[in-house]
Amino acid sequence: MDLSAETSGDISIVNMPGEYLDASTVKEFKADIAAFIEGDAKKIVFDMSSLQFIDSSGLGAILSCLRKLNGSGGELKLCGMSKPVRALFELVRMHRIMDIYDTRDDAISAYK
Amino acid sequence: MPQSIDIDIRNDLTELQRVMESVEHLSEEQSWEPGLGMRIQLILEELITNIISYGYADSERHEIMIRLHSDSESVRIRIEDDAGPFDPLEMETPDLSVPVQEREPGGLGVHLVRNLADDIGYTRQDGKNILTLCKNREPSKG
Repeated sequence: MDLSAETSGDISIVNMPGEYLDASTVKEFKADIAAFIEGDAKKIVFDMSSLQFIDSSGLGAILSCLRKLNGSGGELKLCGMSKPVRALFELVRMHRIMDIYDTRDDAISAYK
Repeated sequence: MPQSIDIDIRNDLTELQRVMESVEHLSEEQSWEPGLGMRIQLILEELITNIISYGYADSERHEIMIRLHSDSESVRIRIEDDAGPFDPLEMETPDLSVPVQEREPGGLGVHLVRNLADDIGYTRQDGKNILTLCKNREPSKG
């Protein structure tokens, strides 16, 4: 899946690659994201701008990331969601437990 | 003009790609409104992944038959499989109001399907699950 990350101060911004986070890609995503969420970084942003399709396994994987980070004193913020992806987060009420921002700058600013 | 397509697949997750492409093709042919194709793809992806991943007690080859029908008012889906009995209408709704540490990642798929479809029907007939779903189309503007 080749996740790439950038830093802004003590904030790690993970670019979620590819258009799909579903049953066909979620295993790879979980393996790749483990390095970020189990590392030292405590302030993480997932930039989801390229994501066009997410299913329940993808939503579950992001929920697991949030749980792991919260469990180790970390925080997760999401940004750049397309309208259809955002609608699915709302359908499973994940928008109530996740910090979601329109842009990457908004998410970074929220940490400051 | 109404259009129907049949997609017969094996119980192999790699077959999902073919289903997604068929939906995309139908979406273009039928000029579906934005977002409808993704919703139909998501419904199919969730249900077929469930059937293939959890439905079969053996590792034999099985066929899953999918029929899509599109007209100006709705998109109808029919999925027929010989997996173990599974009625998504009987599944418990996950509790989505609990705090994050108590939220279980599982169980969201059927919840999504039930909320995305406008009508769902299930029957078990001759050892087969037959699931029918309907998604209403938005009235065309102008």
